[in-house]
Amino acid sequence: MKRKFSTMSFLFIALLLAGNVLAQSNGQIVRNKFMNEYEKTQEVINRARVVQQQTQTEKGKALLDLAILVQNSAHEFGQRAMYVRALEYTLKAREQARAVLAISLQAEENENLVLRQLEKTDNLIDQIQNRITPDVPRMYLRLFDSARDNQNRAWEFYRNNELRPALKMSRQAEKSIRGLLEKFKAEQGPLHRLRNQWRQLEQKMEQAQNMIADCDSDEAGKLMEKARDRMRECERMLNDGQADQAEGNMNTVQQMFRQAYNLCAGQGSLEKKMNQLKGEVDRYLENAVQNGNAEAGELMNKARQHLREAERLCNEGNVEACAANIKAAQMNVNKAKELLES
Amino acid sequence: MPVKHFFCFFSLTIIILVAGASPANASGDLGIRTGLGYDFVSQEYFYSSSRYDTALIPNPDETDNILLRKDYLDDVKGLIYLKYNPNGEGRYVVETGWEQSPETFRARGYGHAALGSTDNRWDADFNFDIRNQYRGTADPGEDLMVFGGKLKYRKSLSQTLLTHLKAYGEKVAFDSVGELVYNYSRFGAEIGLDFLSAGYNSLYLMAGVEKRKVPDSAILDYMAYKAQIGYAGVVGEVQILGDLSLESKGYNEPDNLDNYILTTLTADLRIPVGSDLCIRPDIDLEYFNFENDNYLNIDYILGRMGILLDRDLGRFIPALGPKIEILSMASDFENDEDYLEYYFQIGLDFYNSRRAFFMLENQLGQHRYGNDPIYYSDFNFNRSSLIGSVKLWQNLNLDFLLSAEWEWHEIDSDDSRLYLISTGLIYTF
Repeated sequence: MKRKFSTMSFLFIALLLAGNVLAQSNGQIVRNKFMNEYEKTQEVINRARVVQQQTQTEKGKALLDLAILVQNSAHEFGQRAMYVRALEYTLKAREQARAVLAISLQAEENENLVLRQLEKTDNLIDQIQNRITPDVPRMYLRLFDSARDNQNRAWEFYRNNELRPALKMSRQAEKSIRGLLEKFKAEQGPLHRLRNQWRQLEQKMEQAQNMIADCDSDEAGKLMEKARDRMRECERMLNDGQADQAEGNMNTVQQMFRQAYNLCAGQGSLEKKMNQLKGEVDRYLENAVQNGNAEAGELMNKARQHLREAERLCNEGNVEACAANIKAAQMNVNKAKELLES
Repeated sequence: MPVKHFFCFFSLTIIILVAGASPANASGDLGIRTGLGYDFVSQEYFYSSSRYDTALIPNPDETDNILLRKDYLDDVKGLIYLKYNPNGEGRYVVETGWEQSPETFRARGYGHAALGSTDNRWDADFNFDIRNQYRGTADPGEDLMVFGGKLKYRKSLSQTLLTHLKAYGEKVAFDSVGELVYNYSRFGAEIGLDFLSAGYNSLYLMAGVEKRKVPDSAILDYMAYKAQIGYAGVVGEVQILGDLSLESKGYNEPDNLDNYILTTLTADLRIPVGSDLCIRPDIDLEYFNFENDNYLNIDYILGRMGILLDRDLGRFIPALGPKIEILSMASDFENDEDYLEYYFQIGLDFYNSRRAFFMLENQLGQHRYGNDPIYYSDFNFNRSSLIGSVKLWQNLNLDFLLSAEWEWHEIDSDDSRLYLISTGLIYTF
C-alpha cells in the first residue's frame, strides 16, 4: 500500500512538474513573440513621429499620441507578464502608428511626391524661359513672373517641411506655365514669323510650279510633288504650334525648290522660256505702239527689263532669282495682253 | 545700418540709376518691377478629443469639436526687382531683387545665358535665394541660403537626331538646423537623345543620376538613377504626349531601408473634333515599390485618369469633364487606406494679351474608402482655384492666385479647409 502510494505521488508530482515546465515554455514563446512585436511597433511609432513633424496635422498628432498611449499600456501589461493582452495592445498601437504614415500619403504630404512636382514645374519653366523675350505681350510676362514667384515660394515651403502648401503652390505654378505654353503655341514666338515665311513659300511654290510645268524633267516634277506634300504637312504643324518641326520642314522645301530649278535649268527650260517671252514681248510691244496703248507699252518695257535681269542671273547661276524675274516678266506680258484685247 | 533703412537706400539707388538710364533703354534692355504683395496660406480643421478615443467607438461624441487653424503664411511684402536683358532677345538675362515683409527679407536672383544656334547650343543658368528674419527669433529652417546652377549642351547629330547633356547642382544652407531641417547639396547629370521622324514627331530617351549629401546625417544621403522614354508628336490629327519613367533611389541606411523604385506612366492626348472642339483624355499611373518589404514601407499603386472637353471661343476656352483617382496600398490592415475618388471638373480660361488673363477651375466630387476604416472617413469635397492678372493702368498690374479646398466628412470632426491667397500690385518700368 505504502509502495503504491509512493508511486502515485511520484507520478502526480512528475505530472505537475511537467505541466509547469510546459506552461513556462509556452509563456516564454508568447513573451518572445510580444517582445518582437513590441520592438517592431516602436520602430513604426518612431517613423510616424518623424512624418508627423513634417506634416504637423492635428489628426496625425492625435493618432500618434493615441498610438504612444496604447504602446505604453502594452509595456505595462508586459511588465505584469500579461503577454497575450500586451501583444494585443502593441499590435493595435502599430495599426494606429501606420495610420499616421498613411494619412501623410493621402494628404499629399509625401516628400517624394512633392519633390517630383517641384522638379516637374522647374522643367516646364526651363522649357518656356527662352521664349520670354521683351516683345512678348506684357500680360504673358506677368503670368510667367507670377508663376516663377509661386514656384520659388513652393520651394521655400518644401525646405521648411511644409509639404501641403508646397504642393499646392507648385501645382498652381505648373498650371500657369502650361496655360502660357498653350498660348505661345497659338500666337507667339517663332510661329508668327514662320507663318509669314510659309506664305512666302506658298508664292514661291506657285512660281516654281509654273517654271517646272515647261520642264521635261520627271525628276523635277516628282520633287515638286514631294515639296507640295511637305508644304501641307508644314501648314498642319503651324496650326498645331509645332514651330521647330515646321521650320525644319520649310527649310527642306526650300532645298527641294532649288534642286528642282537646277534640274530644269540643266535642261535649258529656263532659256527656252526666256526666248519664248522675248518673242511675245516684241510682238505685243509692236501691237501697243500701233494701237497707241501707252500702258501696255510700259508693261512690255518692264517685261524686257525683267528678262534682261533674268538672263544675267541665269548666267551667274542664281537659278531661283532668274526664275522669279521670268515669272515677273510673264505677269507683265499677261496684263498687257488683257489691255490690248479689251 | 538697420535692415529696413538699407532696403530703402538700395531701392532708391536702383530707381535713380534706372530712371537716369531709361531714355537709352527704350529697346527693353533694363527693366524694373516693383510693388506690394500679400501672401496667405492657412488650413482650418476640427479637433475632437473623442474622435480617437481609445475605445474607438463607432459614433464618437462630436459635440466637443473645436475649430482650429494653422497659418502657414500671412505676410504683406514690398518688392523690387531689376532685370537686365541686353539686345532684348532673351538669350542673356539677369534679374535680381529684394522682397521685404514686417519680419523677413529676401534677396533673390537668377541668370540665363545662351550661346550658339539651334544645332549647337550651350545654355547656362544660375539662381540664388537668401532669406533672413530680422525681427523676432527665427525657428530652424527659416533663415537660409540657396545657390544653384545648371549647364546644358544641345547638339544636332543629324537632321533627325538631337542629343543633350545637362549637369546641375544646388547647395542649401540654413542658419540653424533641426531634426527635420538639414543643410544639403545636390548634384546631378543627365544625357538625352531625341529622334525626330520624317514628320518631325519626337521619340526621346533620357538617363540621369543624382546624388545628395547631408553633412549632419549620413543616412539621409542618397543616390538616384533615372531613365525615361517618351513620345511627343502627332498621329493623324491627334496630338500625343506620353512617357514612361523609372527612378531608383537608394539611401545610406542599413538593410536598404527606404530604398525604392518608382515607375510612372503618363499619357495626354488632344483630339480635335470639329473646328473648335477638342477632347483631352489623360492618364497617370504610379507604382511605388520599396526594396525592403518590411512593415515600415508601404508599397502603393496610384492611378489617375480623366477626360475633358474644351471649346476654343477665341478669348474664352471653357472645359469640363469627369476624372477619377484610385489608390491601392499594400497594407496589412484590411486595405483600410485604399480609396476611390471621383469628381467633375469645370474650367474657364480667358486671355486678352493686352489687358487681362485668368484661369478658373473647380472640382466637385467624392472620396470613398473601400472598407469602413476606423481612422479615416469618406468625404465630399470642392476645390477651386483662380489664377490671373489684370492691367489696371499703363504698366500697373494686379496679379492674383486664389485657391481653396473644402472637405465635408461623414464624421464632422474630420472636416477641413485649406486657403491660399497670393496677390501682388506690380508696376513694371
